[in-house]
Amino acid sequence: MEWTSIGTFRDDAAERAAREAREDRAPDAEGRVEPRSSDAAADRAMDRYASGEDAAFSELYDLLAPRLFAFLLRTTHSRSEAEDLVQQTMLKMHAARGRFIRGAGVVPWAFSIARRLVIDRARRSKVRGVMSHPGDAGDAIAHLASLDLAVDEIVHAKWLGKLIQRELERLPTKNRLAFELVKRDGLTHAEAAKVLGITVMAVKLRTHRTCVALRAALHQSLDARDP
Amino acid sequence: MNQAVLSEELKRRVLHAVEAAPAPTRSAESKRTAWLVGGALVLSFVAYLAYGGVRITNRPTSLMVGTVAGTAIIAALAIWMTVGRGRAMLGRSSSVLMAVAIGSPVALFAWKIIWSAGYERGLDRWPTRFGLRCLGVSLTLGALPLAAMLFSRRGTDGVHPGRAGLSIGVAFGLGVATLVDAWCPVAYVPHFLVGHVLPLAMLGAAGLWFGKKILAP
Repeated sequence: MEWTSIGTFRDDAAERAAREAREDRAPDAEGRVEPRSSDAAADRAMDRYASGEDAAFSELYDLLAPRLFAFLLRTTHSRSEAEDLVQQTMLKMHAARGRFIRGAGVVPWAFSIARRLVIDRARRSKVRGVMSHPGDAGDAIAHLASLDLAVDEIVHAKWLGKLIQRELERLPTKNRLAFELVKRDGLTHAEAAKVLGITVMAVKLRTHRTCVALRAALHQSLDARDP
Repeated sequence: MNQAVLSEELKRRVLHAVEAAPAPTRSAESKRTAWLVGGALVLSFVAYLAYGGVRITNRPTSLMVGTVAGTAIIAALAIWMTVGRGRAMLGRSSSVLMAVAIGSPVALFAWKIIWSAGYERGLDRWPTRFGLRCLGVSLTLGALPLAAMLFSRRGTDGVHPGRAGLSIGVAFGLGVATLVDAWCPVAYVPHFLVGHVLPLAMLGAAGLWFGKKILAP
């Protein structure tokens, strides 16, 4: 499983502050939160597509599909299933393009469709997929290799990634999902709240609880590793 | 942020599927929705006129105007809260939708009883009027607009399709209750519960069931 936000859990205050500043964008005077540039680009692409510009769909795919895939891969633990669900999500968005409200945010809507498809699939199969795909590890290694890190840093990052993933799996699903939507998929608290159908306060609370649990687990593991 | 690598093959497959099955654009869909929902509303209103339309009978005009105006305000608020989504695809939160679904029938009942109680013989017993006719009229008038509205929203609510359908059903039921209030002079409590409040629950239940089927992506 690829985990590129390991830096968040390192004791690197500057990096953490920068990341938090990016994610917790302050609302303006009217209470609106300025969307990140890729979100704004996706909104514009969907708007153009809904208005009849067919070529905008390819752009929309490039902006949304990787984020949806990352979310679905974590949720299903299966690359083929995640790809299938990305395809279904994009096709559902295409089918409903005429009903897309002008000026609406496309990212939370896309995530809500993806999440609904996962729930439907789980209900149909009655079995939650828990198997890991060998391709996931390959992706992670390729990504780490591209970062041009020393071998011991790669080993440490892999160990840390696995540890975080293991701790996340132990947490309640509702807390984990809120945490992942905000910290991994880059949604704002308000967007995650819309996707999950809960209040912003509940998202903040669940994310905070997950962070606290992860921090405690990491401290414990790091202490045990380097006494 | 986790940016897993997607195959180019998947993109080709998606783009091919999109080309193979074109979807209507926003302007085409808006026209279709206007025709669909507008047509359903017109048909319902024609059916209402066929039932007799507004009937003041021997009740004071202020009683009728008061109950109809109150019901209309409650209905307008409920429709605005459930059908209106502002500039967001995911609509109102679940708690707001549930508040509308539960609170607005209670508000309708309270308003009708309180306003009618202010008039002499306003709450007279009508044991022979069970409310079945009003129930039938309400369901007949409400079914088509509700179906049209749910169809016009199909495949767009990935968060709470059932609750959205439930609250839209209740809100449309309230819209119909406004017309039925202008038609039916009876404020006898059992009659009102069966003929005017029960349809809200039935349209809400229909909205809940169809919402899960239609509104979900």
